[in-house]
Amino acid sequence: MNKKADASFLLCILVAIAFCIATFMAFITSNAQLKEASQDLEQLSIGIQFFQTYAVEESKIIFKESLINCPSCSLESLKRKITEVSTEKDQHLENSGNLFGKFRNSEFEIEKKENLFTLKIPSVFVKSESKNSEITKNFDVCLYFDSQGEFISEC
Amino acid sequence: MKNKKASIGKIVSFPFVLIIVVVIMTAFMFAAITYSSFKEPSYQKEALSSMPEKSILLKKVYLPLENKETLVLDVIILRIEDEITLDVLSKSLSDLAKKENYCYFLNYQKDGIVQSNTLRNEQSIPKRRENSLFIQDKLTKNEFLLDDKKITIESYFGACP
Repeated sequence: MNKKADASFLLCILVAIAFCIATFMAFITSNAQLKEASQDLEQLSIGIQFFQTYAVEESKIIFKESLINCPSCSLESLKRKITEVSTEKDQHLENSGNLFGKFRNSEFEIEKKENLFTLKIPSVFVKSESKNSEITKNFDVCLYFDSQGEFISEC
Repeated sequence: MKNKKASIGKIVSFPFVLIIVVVIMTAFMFAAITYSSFKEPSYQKEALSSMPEKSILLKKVYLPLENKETLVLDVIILRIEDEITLDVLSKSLSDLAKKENYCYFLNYQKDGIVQSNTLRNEQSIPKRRENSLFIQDKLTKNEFLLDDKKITIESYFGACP
């Protein structure tokens, strides 16, 4: 009958070992899952920053090229030129949001004070996708340029 | 009598089992602590490659024929759509790398492996990223959708190996 006691004794040890292994597995697996989730978020965050910078850089290029091609234009003509240049530059990237749509529909403003140009594009959005997640970011583009179309600073 | 023996056995073994469990748990705790302290910290991605403004794709280049300022990303898309040749893309990138005194590695794919190209300006950077320990961890991967087709671009722009 000592066998019965031995069996329970062994069972307890086995259960303890099983618990240890289970905890250890949970420790390793949760670490890996956490890493994957954080990589996913990092990808989304990098993506959104990337497309925001893309929108700003494209705006700078479009404005400069328009001004170079139309140096003595009135603001209205310059606006038309910007629309024309942006249509040429539009690569139809789906992640780039509504920037080119804004240019196409003339939903932007240009101001000129002395030799300083201001380009304002309100409510631009860009989006970033990663596996099952998607982020959309809204922002306003506001840039200062000199008379040569060189970017000076953001507003 | 038999039952009594069994229950005595159980009672005798119980504190002993407890001690063993405590010993196992302590050993596990030490193993976990040792594993955590000796585990090499995961490699932190160089900030340079993950900052969008430092990405080669958002750098401005001049298209040789048109002499128009364009973003590298747009030049790659022009190449993917066969509007410019590989030489034009290569020259634009080489001019940029020369200007900034950097090395670049670029691999772009449209829809998996239907269209894939690797460009680099230094022979010291192997043609396949798998062969280069130097850039393996520094590559930035960007994915774009162009007319419902996925474009994947892996890029490195930084110090030369």
